[in-house]
Amino acid sequence: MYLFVTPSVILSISFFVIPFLHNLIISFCNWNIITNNGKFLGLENYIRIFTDKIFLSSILTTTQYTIFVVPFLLFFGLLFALIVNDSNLRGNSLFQMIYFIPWVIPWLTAGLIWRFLYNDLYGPLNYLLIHFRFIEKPILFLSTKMTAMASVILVCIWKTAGYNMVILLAGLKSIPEQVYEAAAIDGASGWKRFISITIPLIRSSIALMVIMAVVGSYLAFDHFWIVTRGAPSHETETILTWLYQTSFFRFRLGEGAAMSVVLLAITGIFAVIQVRAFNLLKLK
Amino acid sequence: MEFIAKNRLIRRTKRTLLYLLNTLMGILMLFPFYWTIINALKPRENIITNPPIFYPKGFTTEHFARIFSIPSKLGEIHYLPMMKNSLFIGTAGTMGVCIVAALTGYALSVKEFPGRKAVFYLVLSAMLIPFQALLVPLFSEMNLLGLVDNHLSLILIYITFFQPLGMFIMKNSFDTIPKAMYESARIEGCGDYQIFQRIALPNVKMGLGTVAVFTSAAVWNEFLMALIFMTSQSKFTLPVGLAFSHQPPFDINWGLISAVSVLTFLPTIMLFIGLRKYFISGVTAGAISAE
Repeated sequence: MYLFVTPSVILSISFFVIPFLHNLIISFCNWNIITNNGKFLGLENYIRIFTDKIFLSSILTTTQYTIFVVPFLLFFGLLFALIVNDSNLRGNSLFQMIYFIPWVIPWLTAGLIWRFLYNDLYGPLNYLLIHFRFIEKPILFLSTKMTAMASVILVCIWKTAGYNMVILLAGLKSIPEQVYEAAAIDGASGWKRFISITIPLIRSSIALMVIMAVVGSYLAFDHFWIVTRGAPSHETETILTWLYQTSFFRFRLGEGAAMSVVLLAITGIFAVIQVRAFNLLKLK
Repeated sequence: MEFIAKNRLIRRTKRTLLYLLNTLMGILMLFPFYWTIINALKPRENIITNPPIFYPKGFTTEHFARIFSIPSKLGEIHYLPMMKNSLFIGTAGTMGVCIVAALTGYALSVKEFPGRKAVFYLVLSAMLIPFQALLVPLFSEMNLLGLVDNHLSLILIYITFFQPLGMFIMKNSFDTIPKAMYESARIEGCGDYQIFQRIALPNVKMGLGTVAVFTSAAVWNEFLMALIFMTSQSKFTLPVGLAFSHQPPFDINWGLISAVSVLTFLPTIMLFIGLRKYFISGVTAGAISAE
């Protein structure tokens, strides 16, 4: 019987447990990428990364990105879930499919497609905004931190709203029809029903969606890499884009490993919150 | 009567509004795909224009032809090997995850053995800890094994980090098979492996399909690991090749980029449209496992 689990266990130990422990060791050394060896440095890597302005700003940027993108994802995920939930609506499965499609394509492709759409000289987005007189001059989306962040956030909404819709839809489908009927008889308006019935009944789906979105946002790499590549001047580096450059362009593997420890700590905190939150929700 | 008529009117307006909203959202969601596809098929002179041309003006297959040919100029990207690499890694990774996840899921579902819980949590914890955070040690390890710039490194990493969800789905699928079926097979003298292959596997086709579909899309789309572990161009996967096609401030060939983009998203979108059920059940399973 142990033969059945051997491949899984060997893989998990060699490419997950060992690297996990090795990462801690590297973070205390000046690891050389060529000799694959390092000397013990103590806490120096950690001191360096916490005095590295770009790393500190990358933590801030990633946090800002998370704080802005998650509410939008919740809003659009919920909106899509609500407008396709009516099973009397013909074609609702077609719309469901359309909303989900962007999720199955590579992040990198999504980023590039939008990069074309955002172009200031020949991109359709600027053209349409000017044509309908929302703006007068084309927006250079990558010239300020705010517009650069907004453009990445839009890519993320387009790409993952459908995925979040599926998670929330599973919650919506679990609400029995009678609950709404009872509320309608009691004379509750549509909005009132939404706030006092729908939302509380799908709160565990919402919590799940939010936590997965938060962890996902802290791991943002591909779309930032292709859309902004840190522009303007490293202001939109995320933890991962900076970790990647520190390790593989500046060859400071020790510092990269120390950044990994920080990233693991952040995602670890959310993992704990996740477990706690669900225990709480289940008890109620 | 009047009440009923009014009610019907309300319902009809509501439905019309829902249709309008859905259609509007649907157009907005599909527009980026439309834009990419028409530009992949437009001649160069109709792509970079102001105002932009929103319909397919002119028709050319030059961009696709370029992808499928050997580049004539130095420094141009050769896409054919990248497509082969992506297909190979995708197939190997998916088969690997299916095999490993089915074996482990089966053992965890059917058997009681010492260390069962430990195995379950060991495999599943690879899902809580993102592989993106283990870039440096994984690179160092692959370096030590001589697997940098070798597809095997990617395949091993993908199997390790995509197997937890697979194992979870497979375990849940095996759990639905009544234990009595195994008992009768055992009485007839089937061994462990025979029971697994002849009795258990044919009954979890939906689960296995979900794992296969989900994993193949995830492997096909993965970018960061492929970017780091493959150092020579002939070893790149398609998304990495796509990233290298876009090198501002140099001249950007949007026709070619659009054509390559189409090739990166077409396979997964077709897979999704054809096997929608599996994708949705994969998302739901992922959500349950996160709980």
